[in-house]
Amino acid sequence: MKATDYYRKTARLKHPEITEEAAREVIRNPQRIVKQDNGRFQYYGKVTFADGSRTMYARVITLPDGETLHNVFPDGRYTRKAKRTES
Amino acid sequence: MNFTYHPDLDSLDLRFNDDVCVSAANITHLAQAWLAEDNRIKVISIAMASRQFRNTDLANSTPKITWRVPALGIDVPLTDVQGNGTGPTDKLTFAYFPDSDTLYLDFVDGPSDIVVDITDSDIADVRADGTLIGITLEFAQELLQIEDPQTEVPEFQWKVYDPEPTPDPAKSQRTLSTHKLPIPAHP
Repeated sequence: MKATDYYRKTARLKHPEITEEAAREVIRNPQRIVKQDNGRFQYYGKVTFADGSRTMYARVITLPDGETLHNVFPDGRYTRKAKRTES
Repeated sequence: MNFTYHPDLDSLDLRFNDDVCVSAANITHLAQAWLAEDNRIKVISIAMASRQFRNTDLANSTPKITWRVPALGIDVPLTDVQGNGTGPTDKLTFAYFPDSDTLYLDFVDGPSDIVVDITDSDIADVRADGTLIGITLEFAQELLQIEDPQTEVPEFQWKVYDPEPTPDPAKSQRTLSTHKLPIPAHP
């Protein structure tokens, strides 16, 4: 499982509600993929928090190889946008 | 990197370089980023800085500021005048990650409640009460203006702006802390 040092030592600790496995699942089955100008990828997908308390959309950022995990966090803006689209 | 504390406003400006800023982006109700034409963050302004750092004497002391490269075991203190704050917020760690060229400004330990987009690639972690937890800055080497962040420590100064009028503009600021030492050799 490839991941940057930043993910291992910072992002994962700041957002423990999203497990690495949940992030990998977003990469495998994204609802949306955006390629950033810098070559990195943003994957959007629904995740259930590690404690099962909530389901929310997450943004998963990878390096340009599309698989090295770099950043993962709940994306409130995308969640609201998706809810508006669904309703 | 220059920190300038304004005692009359209780605000703190963290300036990465002297580029002219052309726009601003709100991070929280008390923190703002100033961007240059290239849409990169050049200045971060924190209002009510004494609350952010839980340090009521920022005019005469500084938070504990550290330059850290975890992959290389580098941990360099940048401030020599440390503050009177209490708890985990009287500190700021610049953690640099060479493999992704990422700089994390770590203000407060612990998890984040909200993520705020500042630019296309830079984000801030914020607690529900508005406390700034941290800021992630991508492609940091260019921002820090150092040739090799693995072997250099960015120059650092903590200045205090003197709100009293003075005939000599150079004396309107006093320097509280400066770091210009080379990075210690690492294995």
